[in-house]
Amino acid sequence: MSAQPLLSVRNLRWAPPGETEPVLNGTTLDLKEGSLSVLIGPSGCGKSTLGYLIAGYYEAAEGEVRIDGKPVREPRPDRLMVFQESALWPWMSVLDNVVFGPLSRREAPRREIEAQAKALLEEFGLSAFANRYPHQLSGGMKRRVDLAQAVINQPRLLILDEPFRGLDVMTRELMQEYFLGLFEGRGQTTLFISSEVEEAVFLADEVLVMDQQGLIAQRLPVTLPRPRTSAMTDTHEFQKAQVDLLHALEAVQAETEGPQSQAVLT
Amino acid sequence: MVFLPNAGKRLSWRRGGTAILLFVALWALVAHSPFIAEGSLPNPWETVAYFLAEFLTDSGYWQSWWVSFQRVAYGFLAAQLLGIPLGLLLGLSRRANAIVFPVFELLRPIPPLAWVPLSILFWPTTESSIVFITTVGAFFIIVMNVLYGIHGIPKQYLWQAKSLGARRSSVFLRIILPAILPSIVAGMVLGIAVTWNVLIAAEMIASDSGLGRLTWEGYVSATPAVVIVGMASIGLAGVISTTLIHLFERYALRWRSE
Repeated sequence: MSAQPLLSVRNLRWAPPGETEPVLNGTTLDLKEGSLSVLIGPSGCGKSTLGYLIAGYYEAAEGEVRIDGKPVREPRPDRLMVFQESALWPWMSVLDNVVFGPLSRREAPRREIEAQAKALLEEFGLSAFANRYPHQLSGGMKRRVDLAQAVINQPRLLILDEPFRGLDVMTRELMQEYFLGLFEGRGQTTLFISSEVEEAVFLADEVLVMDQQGLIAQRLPVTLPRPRTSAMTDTHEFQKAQVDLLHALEAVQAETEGPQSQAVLT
Repeated sequence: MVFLPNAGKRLSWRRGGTAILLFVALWALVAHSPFIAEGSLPNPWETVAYFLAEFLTDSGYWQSWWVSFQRVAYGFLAAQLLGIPLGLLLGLSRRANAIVFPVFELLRPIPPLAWVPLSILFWPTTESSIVFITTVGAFFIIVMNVLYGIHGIPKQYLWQAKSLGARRSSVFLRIILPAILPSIVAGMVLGIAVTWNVLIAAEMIASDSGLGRLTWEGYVSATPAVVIVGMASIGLAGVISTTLIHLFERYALRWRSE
């Protein structure tokens, strides 16, 4: 593993167009290659915005984002984002959605790319649905296709923006385990944005707690062994990590809202 | 797409049939009501009898259908061919929007029929001026639909395509065009109805052929049965056109959930 971080974010500032109040006000962050970091923080603190800046969808007013030492100036296939809402193109079949990236870049003959995509769909348990349209899939299936659409491009960094939000509890748990299997099998460097404490602890090597200024207020390493299973959530270690994270979030909340909110949280 | 008979569809047909029967009954009642002058409104049976006797085998009547359908087809197609590219231009180019949209907004509120005098003066033949007026009818609708369709494309669709390395041409052809297809089809459904409205009025004012003219001649010759046959023919022609658009919609948007 190289000493240089795969992702390096320095003093990033960004405000919505026409507004002076910044959403991110000096965010700094490094991610190591092969790590799974979960970004968590209060609603509206700028988690998704940071994801958009890293992906190259937004342009920073100040500061910079570097991937492998190269500045991010526009969207590129080496850093892909899976959005909160599935962004599969509804007029394309599952297979066409998955092959879109490699075909657009003309990386290999169509037949070769399709064979690769079919193998990936098989691995994702979706081979029977390759010719279906997205509206014919369940919520969990769509999320798996979103992942397949990203993974086939072998991105250096995968950014997942609360991808399991809106799924029912059982499907969400299944998807978390499924995603962990994918991560642990491939060592895919991932920035996972979440608003769920349990999800953050279950998935992360490290949890990044963001405050209302969009700054990384705390970095909490999660030392639970891998591979992880849902059975681990009952262990003392898991519970302790959860409590630690909860306290960190409460501290961030209290710092933002002052002493009154501390009384409410306790 | 395969259509399987189901209870919902059967119910829908039954309701539709009942509604038509009720309408015919109401028509018969009104035709015989004391408030309607004797002979001014033929009842349904008299109208059908008149149609069978005078029109069914009359080539002039079917010629009227053909002429009107041709005009609608030309006007409607011209509106699509001009309106879709203009809508795309206005939606995708800020500069073009800044230059063209103010003029477009100035012309848009003018009712299509207000173009009749100018188009008669401007176009060399009556036929071309009628097609022009029908084009105007659908043109503004399709432009606005394409424009709003572009504004409604989720930004994630475009971001995703750019992230995955798609070229500009590929983003346009494979993302933007299919994404606005539902808006184009919605514009077609609205546009075809307006095209028929405008055509019939234009035929009454400025033409010596077509279903609009047939209806007007019924009025001029004080033959209510002809007026009713003309109106019913126009209604049926509208239904046929809309059905064709819906068939296209079903094919082009087969990827959409019901």
